[in-house]
Amino acid sequence: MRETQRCVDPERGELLAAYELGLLSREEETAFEEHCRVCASCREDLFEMAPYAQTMAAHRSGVAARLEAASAETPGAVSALRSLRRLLPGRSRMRPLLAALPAAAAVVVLVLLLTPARETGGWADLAVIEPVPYAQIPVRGAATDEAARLFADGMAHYAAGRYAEGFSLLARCGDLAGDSDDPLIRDQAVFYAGLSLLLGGRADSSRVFLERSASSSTPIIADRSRWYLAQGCLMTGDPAGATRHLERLAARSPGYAAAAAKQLASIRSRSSNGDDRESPD
Amino acid sequence: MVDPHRNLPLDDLASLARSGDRRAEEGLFDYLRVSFLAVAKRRVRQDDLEDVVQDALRVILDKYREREERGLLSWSFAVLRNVIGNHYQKRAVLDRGLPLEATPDAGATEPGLAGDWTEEIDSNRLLGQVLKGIEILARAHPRCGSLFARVLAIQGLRDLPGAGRGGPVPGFEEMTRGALYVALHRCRARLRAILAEMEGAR
Repeated sequence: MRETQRCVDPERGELLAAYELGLLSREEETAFEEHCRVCASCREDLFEMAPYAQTMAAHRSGVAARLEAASAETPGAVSALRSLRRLLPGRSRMRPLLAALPAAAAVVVLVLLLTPARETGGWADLAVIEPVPYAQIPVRGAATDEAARLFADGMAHYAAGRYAEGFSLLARCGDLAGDSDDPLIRDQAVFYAGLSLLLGGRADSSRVFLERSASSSTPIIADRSRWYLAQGCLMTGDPAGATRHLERLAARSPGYAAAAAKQLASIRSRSSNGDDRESPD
Repeated sequence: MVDPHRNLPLDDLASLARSGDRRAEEGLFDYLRVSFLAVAKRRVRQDDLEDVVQDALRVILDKYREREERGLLSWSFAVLRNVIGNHYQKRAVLDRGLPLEATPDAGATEPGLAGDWTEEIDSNRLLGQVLKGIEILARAHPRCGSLFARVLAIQGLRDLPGAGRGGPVPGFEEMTRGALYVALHRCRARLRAILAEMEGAR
């Protein structure tokens, strides 16, 4: 999909999704179609998404059911424990981490570290996934009270290792703060939302958030995001993606350069030994 | 004299055209032609532009009468995408100096078949992508997941009485109609970004 230019009339442009979903009144529909005559941005957007919109319209109930299932799903402690029991033998190198973390968090982290290793060609054991100790950067100014409340509550869950709950609040905070003039709380919320997903076993989904926070203008947030993006890549069996993020950190990040260089060396060593153990499928 | 079709949305024009209203059909195809030219000129060479647009309009003319669903513009753009895709494929074959018959999809380059073959080939892939994308969206942005789920579960809010942007929406008591549109717009942008990322990763 290609990037498009700016909408010439954002108020009309905001009708786009509702137009695709058939929610507009006749007057609004006509207004939006007239808008598309002159607005290349909306026209292109509609064109680019047309096959997906058609597919969603043709499978409304199936898509809605998938959405409900995904929304209801949270990482389950019981299944995590079962996975851990199944996977722990032969993985003694992970035990120090167990001792260092609260028990519930350790279970989640270990399962995360171990489970993908079976599925992603053995790169996950190179990943270093530890919760960032929570130290809030002082926030000034414009975030709404609601965003600040969501952030505080979300971080309380995060600090207690309740990543699913933390994620939910932090993602909402990121949404709310995204409308304000305060990028710092937004970037922090988005970063911790991404990290919560990663710690909660959703390495794939965490990328969306971490990539957003990696573009933060606050260097420490951007660097942390890249570091965890690299870890997420390893978790999902993408050493090339990890290498890309780590090279940038090794070259430019005062805080992560040494760790990134060390991890790069491990990836390259394994690659050169042909020990990438890609699964056949 | 005021044109009675002037303030009608494309779906209504299509509906009138299906019942034999020539002016409605003209209005519909005028709109599509202008839109198609604007979109296609960014994607195909000037020399091929008119042919590609005509091919797409021909497919639509052949098929729109059988089509009952709303969303004519999205459907038309999907047809245009297919025609442009076929055009690229045909161009690539010609550039390599191969006869068209040498390719298994040669028949697909016939304009009248464009909609059929791509739908058949792509439908499973597209559905898989949409389901995966929507799942990622719901996990990354639970509010978006919930919003889309609720909207998709209803059959449209179009003809509700008293529909104004500041008015309430049945089933969405916590927000006005305008707020719902804006929220959907933002969620759609996120879904689009996710799908784009998936496309890029393929």
